Amino acid sequence: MALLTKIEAFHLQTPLGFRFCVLRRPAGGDRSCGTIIHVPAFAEELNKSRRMIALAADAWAQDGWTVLQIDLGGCGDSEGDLADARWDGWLDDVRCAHQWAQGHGQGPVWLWGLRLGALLASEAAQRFGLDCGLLLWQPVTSGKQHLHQFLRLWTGAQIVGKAGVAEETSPLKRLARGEPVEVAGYEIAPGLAQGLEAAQFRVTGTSKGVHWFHVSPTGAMPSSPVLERLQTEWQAAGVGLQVHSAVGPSFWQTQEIELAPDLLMQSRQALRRKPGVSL
Amino acid sequence: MSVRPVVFACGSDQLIGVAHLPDCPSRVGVVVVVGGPQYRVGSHRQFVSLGRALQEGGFACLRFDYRGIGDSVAPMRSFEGVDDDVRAAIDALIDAVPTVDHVVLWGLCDGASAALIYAPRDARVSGVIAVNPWVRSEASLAAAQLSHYYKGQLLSLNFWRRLLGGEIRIGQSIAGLTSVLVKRFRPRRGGQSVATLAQTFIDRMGNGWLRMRGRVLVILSGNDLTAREFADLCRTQPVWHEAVMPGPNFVELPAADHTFSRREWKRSVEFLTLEWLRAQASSISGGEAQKEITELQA
Repeated sequence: MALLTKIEAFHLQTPLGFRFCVLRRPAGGDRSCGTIIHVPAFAEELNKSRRMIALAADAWAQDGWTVLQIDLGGCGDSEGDLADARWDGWLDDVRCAHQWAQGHGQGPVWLWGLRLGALLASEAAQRFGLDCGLLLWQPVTSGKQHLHQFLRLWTGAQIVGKAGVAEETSPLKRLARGEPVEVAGYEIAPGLAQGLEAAQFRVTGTSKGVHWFHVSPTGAMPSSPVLERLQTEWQAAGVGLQVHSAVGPSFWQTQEIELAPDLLMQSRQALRRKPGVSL
Repeated sequence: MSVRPVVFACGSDQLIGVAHLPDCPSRVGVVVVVGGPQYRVGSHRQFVSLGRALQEGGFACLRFDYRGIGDSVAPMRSFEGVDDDVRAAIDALIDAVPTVDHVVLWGLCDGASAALIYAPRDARVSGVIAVNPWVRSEASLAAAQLSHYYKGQLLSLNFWRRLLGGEIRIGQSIAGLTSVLVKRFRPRRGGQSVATLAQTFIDRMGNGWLRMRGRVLVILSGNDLTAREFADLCRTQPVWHEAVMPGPNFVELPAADHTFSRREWKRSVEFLTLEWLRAQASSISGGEAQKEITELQA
């Protein structure tokens, strides 16, 4: 059977160490729509979403895109430990991936972020003035909220009586005292927590357009003051923002591995359209 | 020392792995067989940490996604159907480190089950490290539910009166539970097994376990339902008795959870793995030296 896509895995050297990358391309190799860079979700959400992301990446490669998945520093198969990771370092990882895409590919570059990766992608695009479009899947809009939700796993562990947790001070308090914390096996340093707490969606002026996808079992679009604010800001800045809702499970956090085919189908359609055109 | 991404074929599919390569690798290498909903990185990067520890300790290690998990886009498959994937991974490890001629499979959860099923089919596999092996069947699950949810109720006459009177609806789990009770109190007939699908995979594991006897390290977590089910199996099935007997091939970490989600638990597993691998490596060398001496004397 002829393979439709070609897959490679390599280490992208960055100033902060190697970053593990998976690269998928159409097997023919002659046509390239551009490069899509996947910026992954945080902690266990990365693990749970890995298959959905792989299937989507493969689908895009079949559509003619070059798709680069990068593991951030201290995450996945990249160099370093999470305990040493910092938000600024992750922003720089996105910059390095974008630089790679510009050096190796042709056509437009899209940053495709899932959850915290969406927030990171938007901030990197703005901070470094990256020439790119943003494809955002269930974006985390507040790093602070996301961190606090993650730290709640500690409370859960305390309730089910996991040994060793009962006697400890809460992770938020320990982070505030400048101590690292270990939650659900992930070690987080105060430096990373501070970066996460400060992270906010930013208006990006250089964007080729933004596709914002919300996934829910009903496909309903919840009202989101953050999204409304961003819509206003992005419109004022002349950024084409398209908001989509898809039907599907929260595949980044389900117990077993689940998929959201509708999200993928709609996203494929979105990228086939001329980017940057508002609905 | 280096870490190298590898892409290798399994049939018509491409699999992705990461090889940890020490400068002077032992002839014993390790292939990590992933279990549960995880991929080659593991919960809280457990397998990354393990791979690094093995590399530090002088053992080459390959972690990989079998078909249907992580970066593989092939259709999902059960852990019972990954023999070809494990074989391809062993090939890939030996390709990367040609001096490796013995392979230990390291598996967690249903990865441990897959490792035990595969082990006797490949002469290159010299050992298995089975961590919280998955032996769930309707019966073991029902037994676990029995101890967790119904313990108090079972002693109540009223519960049985209501159950037998049809007042309590018998859902699937209770049906399983009832059949466990029936099985438990029915006299055992010489090793006869009920031919359910679930027992088939446990039988295949048992076969692997017997053929690998003395070359399997079992590590169990104290705070884990999967480990408890395995320990129950070992207590009730004579074939498995030895798997949880005190000695160099069995360790329990009393406080640890299923994925060893604290640094000290992770480190303990890495330490135990390394110690056991070193013993294996020296017994392989010792065995071969002895064979040479015998041959020379002959």
